[in-house]
Amino acid sequence: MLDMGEAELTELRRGVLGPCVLALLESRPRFGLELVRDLAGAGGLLTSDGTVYPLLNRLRDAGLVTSQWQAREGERARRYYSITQAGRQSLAAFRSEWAQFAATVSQVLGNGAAESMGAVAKGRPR
Amino acid sequence: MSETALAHRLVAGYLRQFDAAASVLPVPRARELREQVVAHVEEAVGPDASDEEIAAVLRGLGPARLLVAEAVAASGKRPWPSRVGWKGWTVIGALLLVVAALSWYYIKINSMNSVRPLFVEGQSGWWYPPDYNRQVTTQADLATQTTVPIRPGQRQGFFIQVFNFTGMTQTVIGSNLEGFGPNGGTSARVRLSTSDPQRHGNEPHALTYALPVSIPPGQSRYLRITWISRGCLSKLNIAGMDSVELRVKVGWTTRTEYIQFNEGFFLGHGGYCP
Repeated sequence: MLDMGEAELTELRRGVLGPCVLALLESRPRFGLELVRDLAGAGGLLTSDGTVYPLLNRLRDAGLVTSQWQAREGERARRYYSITQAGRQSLAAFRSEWAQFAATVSQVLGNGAAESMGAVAKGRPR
Repeated sequence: MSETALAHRLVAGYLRQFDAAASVLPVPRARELREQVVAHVEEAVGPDASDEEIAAVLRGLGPARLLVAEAVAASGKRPWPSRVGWKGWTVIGALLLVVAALSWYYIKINSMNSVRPLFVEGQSGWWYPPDYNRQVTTQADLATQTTVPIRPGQRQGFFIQVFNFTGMTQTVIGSNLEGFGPNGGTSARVRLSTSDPQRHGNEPHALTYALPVSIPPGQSRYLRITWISRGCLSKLNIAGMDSVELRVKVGWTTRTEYIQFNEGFFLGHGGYCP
């Protein structure tokens, strides 16, 4: 059996983490630790909490998010991240691509499994 | 917690590692990422967090070098000139014209402010024999500290070696201690050796100490901090220092340099107190 290594998983996470951050910001602005906790709560998305911050900076450089310091009543001043219009468009495009992509991968994985099971069944002594 | 947690030895040690690793990043990017890390720690660590809780938050962040590697990977997909675009180049050209129009004086001031701060390296230790004979060194995940018994009413202190690795003379003219040492100690004195210890066999007690003291390019000095200790500490409490802010004159500008020690110097309970 082929084990998926940590490096491959990290690459997978890196690929989908950006859209996941955009999706969280789509509902409302969030500050850094809040994003980290929401992503960690989803399970399996973060290799480490710190990876979120370079990603946020990259998304901001790409114009997909903006950040702003805000001091809400009774709270400390925090840097809140918000999704931009370009970010919403990027997220919508990803969602559309992802649905197709996930369906294709699922189909291939399913077929592969079915073929394997078929091969085993054919080879079984009767 | 801010001040307390940021001064915590684990956090300070993590930030030191981050600063060392982040030297490969552009300065604004490194500064921004550091600010995000600091905010993360401030949010995640409660006011009464234990060492274990703080260590867990830092472990969650991941090793500082991996965090920086992630930032390098995130920003390094395309060479930066192609990311700038023609509008960016127009802005850059305009900025260059503005910069060229600035006076020599302004540029000179900026260059003085950007000179690298004094760097801690080399020798260090407790100053007085009753202390260095009874020091206990401990090492946690990311930091080293030495602890000695507090001696109420007596002068205690330590020295570290600081280097000027820049091309400009730096003159230390004061500090942020304003007469106060750890645990409310009084009569704190910050002094520097008037000559380079490397030229005197590195023996700290053989040198003369004063303030202000100038450190020419490429030379080092011992920085000695002493105070008269007050009060006692319970077995569970320690008080000490792992950094100091110095007022330093570079050229004709004066600035504050944050000097982070390679180890913490702490006072604790001991045989001098009930």
